[in-house]
Amino acid sequence: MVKRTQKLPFLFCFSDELMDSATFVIIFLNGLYYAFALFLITIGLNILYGILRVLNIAHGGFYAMGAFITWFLMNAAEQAGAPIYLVWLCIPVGALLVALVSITLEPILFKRLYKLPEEYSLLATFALMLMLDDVLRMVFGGDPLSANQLFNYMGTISILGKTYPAYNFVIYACALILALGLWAFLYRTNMGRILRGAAQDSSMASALGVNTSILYTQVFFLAFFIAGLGGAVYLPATSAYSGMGFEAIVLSFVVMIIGGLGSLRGALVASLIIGLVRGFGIYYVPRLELAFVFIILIVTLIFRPRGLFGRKFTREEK
Amino acid sequence: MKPYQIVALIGLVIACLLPFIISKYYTFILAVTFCFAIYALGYNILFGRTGLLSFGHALYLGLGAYTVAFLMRPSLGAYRIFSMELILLIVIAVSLLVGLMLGAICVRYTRIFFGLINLGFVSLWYSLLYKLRDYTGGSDGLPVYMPTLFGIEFGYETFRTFVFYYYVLGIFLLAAFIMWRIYESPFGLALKAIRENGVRAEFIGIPIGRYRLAAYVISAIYGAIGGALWAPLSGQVSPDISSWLSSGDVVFMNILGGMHTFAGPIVGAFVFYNLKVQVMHFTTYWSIILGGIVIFFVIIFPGGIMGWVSRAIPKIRKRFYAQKD
Repeated sequence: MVKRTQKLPFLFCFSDELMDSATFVIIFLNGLYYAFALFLITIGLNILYGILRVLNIAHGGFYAMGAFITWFLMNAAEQAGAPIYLVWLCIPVGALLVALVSITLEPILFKRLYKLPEEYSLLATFALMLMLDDVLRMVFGGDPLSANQLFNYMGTISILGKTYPAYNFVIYACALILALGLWAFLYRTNMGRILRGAAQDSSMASALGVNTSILYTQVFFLAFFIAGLGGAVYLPATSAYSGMGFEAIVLSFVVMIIGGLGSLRGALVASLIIGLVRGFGIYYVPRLELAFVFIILIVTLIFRPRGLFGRKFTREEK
Repeated sequence: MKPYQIVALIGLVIACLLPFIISKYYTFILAVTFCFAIYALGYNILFGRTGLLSFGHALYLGLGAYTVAFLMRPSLGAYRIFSMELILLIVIAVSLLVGLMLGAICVRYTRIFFGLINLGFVSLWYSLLYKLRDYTGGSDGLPVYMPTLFGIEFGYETFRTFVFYYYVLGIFLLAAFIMWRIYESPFGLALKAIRENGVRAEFIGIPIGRYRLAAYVISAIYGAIGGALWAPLSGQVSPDISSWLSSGDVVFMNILGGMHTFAGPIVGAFVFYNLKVQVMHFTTYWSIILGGIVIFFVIIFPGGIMGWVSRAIPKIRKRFYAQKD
């Protein structure tokens, strides 16, 4: 007899009393589900920190904005009776809209933060996060909004005799393609080389003829786009609710530190670690699930403050 | 008497007379404000003086508040403690211990790493408060009963709107006086040197690790006292007091008031909390206004209100004397 448990929000998890390989696979997949949400936020954070030295707390807000804008689009598409491929199109369009809206903040706010010490940029982006959350609440109301046409359209698939939503595999594929694409972009294209050069020494890059001002705007655009995409791609599986940015950003910081500030590889590995710890933690010890995550963070900071793949500190930074 | 002493004395006289002038509700609000002023004042020795930005100081606010609730739990039976003075002593001891333990880990880092490890600790603490429902009451929190002050029990309304205000004011004055002495001491000046340049401070023989730890512990104790005084006023403690958003509030108080001045955090706590109360009367979208103010201050006036005042006074004085001549 298969019993349904309600331990995981928004996810289907069917389990026997005993732990079997199928349950294990489901928990593992749920872990990946958490991991890739964090990954999509953290790579944006890491790009911004690695290149501009801005630690953007407001990034969770852009993630939330992605979910809300995509909800608006999908809702409109549903009311207009649009075919399903148009609903699919809402995801990239939503992410693009987030990037277009957010990029207007760059000259107003972020440009002024480059010169300030890191602590100030931390504060200013924290304040921006508060504002974004309230603006979203003001525009879209405080109730959770769900648009699950795609989720229902994809249906479920059977894994070792257990049902699992097929839409989640879209998320996994999306995150992996994005990770590979970013890696190829940064390490195989000319633009990527320029970016990495500017990250190491921006004044030298501008001396060599790189227009760093435009470059920085492009970097912001990319980071906002990825954050918006994260929110957009997760919307059909969950819902858009006020405060989702706050939840996401704290865990993303944990991922960022464990992986190492500014490291893409670190972001992937650490988000997998945190995602799986959460997945298994929710299943076995739901009470201490979050505590585990922060204990990992603290242990990392104590024994390896630069993270798994972070670069070494200079003397001044210590 | 120096001008700032006169201003402080006038402020004190006004603070003592206010409960007779303003309504009971505002006396209550003002008492809460003084609790936060103690908290902000303690935070300033870490942030403004030593230059360590912590995004997790609500841990100590929550520690103080929850200690009060724990000591008053009905399940303690005959061992329940209601004497506020005794409670405060226990709170100081607890926060000293916790501050020493966590501080020993935290002060090994500076800059954003310090901020983020504190964020880690406060999130851990918050998740424990939230999830260990049997001990902490989960999201409902714990009730806080009325303590006795100097062995005297007061009625509910008198306590919350009159007597406790003076109690908090007295402790605030004591705390501010001690903090002033710390700031003026060689230790306080050494902290300033550490803020300006840690490497050079080390070269001239300041043990920066131990001094940072001392600053951390002092701020922890102040935060816990603020929380312990706030708890009976609120009548209830819940995990929200220790969320990382609440940790952000104290940073805002310091930025708003001016973190490099002594009176800055006090002014900041007053402006911040009263602004919050006023704005919340007519809109729930308080964060937009708060966020806007903070961004404005960070970009245009990094010195805060008192920083601006302390720059403006010499100018005014110069103009005043110029007219006399």
